[in-house]
Amino acid sequence: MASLLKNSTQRAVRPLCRFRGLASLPVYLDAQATNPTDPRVLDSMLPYLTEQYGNPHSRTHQYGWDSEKAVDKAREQIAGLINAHPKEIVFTSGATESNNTALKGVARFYKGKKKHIITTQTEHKCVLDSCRKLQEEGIDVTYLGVKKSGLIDLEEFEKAIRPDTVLASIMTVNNEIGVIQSIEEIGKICRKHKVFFHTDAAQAVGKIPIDVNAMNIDLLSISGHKIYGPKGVGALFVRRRPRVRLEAIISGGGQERGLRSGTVPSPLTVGLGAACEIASVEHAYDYEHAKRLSQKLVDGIQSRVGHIERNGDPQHTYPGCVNLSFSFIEGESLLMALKDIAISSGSACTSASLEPSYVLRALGSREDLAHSSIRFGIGRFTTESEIDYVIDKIEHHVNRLREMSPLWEMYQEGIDLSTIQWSQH
Amino acid sequence: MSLYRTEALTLYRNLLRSSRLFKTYNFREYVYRRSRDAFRENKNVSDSEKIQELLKEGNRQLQIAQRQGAINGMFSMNKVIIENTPQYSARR
Ligand SMILES: Cc1ncc(COP(=O)(O)O)c(C=O)c1O
Repeated sequence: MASLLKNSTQRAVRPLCRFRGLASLPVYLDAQATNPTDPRVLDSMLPYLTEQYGNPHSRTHQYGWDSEKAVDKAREQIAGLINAHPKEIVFTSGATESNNTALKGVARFYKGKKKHIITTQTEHKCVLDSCRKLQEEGIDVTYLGVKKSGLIDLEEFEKAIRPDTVLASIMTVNNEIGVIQSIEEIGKICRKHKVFFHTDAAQAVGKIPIDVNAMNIDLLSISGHKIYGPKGVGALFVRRRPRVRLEAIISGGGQERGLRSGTVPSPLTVGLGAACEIASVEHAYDYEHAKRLSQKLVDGIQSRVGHIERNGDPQHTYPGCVNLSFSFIEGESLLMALKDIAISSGSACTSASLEPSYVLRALGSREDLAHSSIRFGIGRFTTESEIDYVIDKIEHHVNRLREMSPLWEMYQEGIDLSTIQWSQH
Repeated sequence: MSLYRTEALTLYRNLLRSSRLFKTYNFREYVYRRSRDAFRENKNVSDSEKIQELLKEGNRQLQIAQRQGAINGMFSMNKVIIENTPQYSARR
């Protein structure tokens, strides 16, 4: 007994044993869904989750002042990454809330004078759904199509602008196919026609260089967990000059210049700030890493199994997002077979349904290819060995599934699959 | 130069060693790769002011890695599948 006690006090720290004994974790290749919190980010947050718990809005004591100082520093770090002014940064709970605030906020504020919004068919669900909500409120929305590359047609975009267009919302990097829109050109067109320009940059900030001034961006959405920060925090950049005005969607104590009431979660904002500062130092290094691994993955799969199609224009794509369609097999059966790899057939919010992705359909992908697509997300913490593993697994399972596929058999016999009349169902 | 050389080598060794504190595979590999690449990138820096700056930053990173490695070691309980497969688990 004595020795037991001695032992337990000697081992001052006991690890958490809850998950011990579980099977191995799959290789994580779903960087567009979320990313691990960078240990450097966690390091910056812990003081604010332990000792420095003050409410950043408390004006009467040191607890509050310390938290406020930390929140202000985070604001500077975020602004620094996108070349904005710290006063232009509004903290939110994530890119979903930032997008909602931008779209609904601008549309509702200017509703008396202007009532038209332009967006694209390949936006994230939270932008499309906010637009649907606004349509119910009497706002006109144009949903621009995209070319096969995934890019919008700039001429078509300019033509869609009307005298009563108040806002254009076009994402920077697409979350399913990684395509990067021509943000600078879009910004120029918007400025020329005095239309506010919002971009959902959840997948872009920290991954590719963004400068809200050079690109004439008026509103920009950021998500914490996509850039190795914590979940549950994000930011909205709102330009001060020329001033963009918003009607807040959350009412309360008037924090964040009245645009987002509620106590600012200081630990989360500190984490987001640290993530942004790390990204401003590391983005070139991270980009090269993603590019190298992405090239290796695509080349490896191409040479070992063939008959794949990369969705979206590879020239205008962030390399850490690789969306491939595998001919002759169902994406779902491949996903099932690749259970030791954490990947998805598209965005996390639609991955529960068996519907082919609306983004791929907007590109005009053939239904069968849209059904057989898989998204590989490569990030800061992906290793080369993981890519080797993934290529080997893909080779094994794609070949196995094709062997079982009647389509593959027909193809091998020289039957042109595009001439087959598929029955309607 | 040799004045800083010893200090730099010690820092480098300590950084690589700190990577081992991380039980989480992907963090461990990242800390190792990032430290190695940073030292390779800067190995020809000769300006003493710049060297001092790099050493200071490196030491700051070392402290973070040591703290976070210790914390990670307490919460990381599972292995990623390739860690159990010798053919893939070798460091690249
Ligand atoms: C392009 C894009 N916008 C918005 C979001 C939503 O971000 P959050 O999870 O921060 O609300 C995501 C992620 O799911 C995304 O990929």
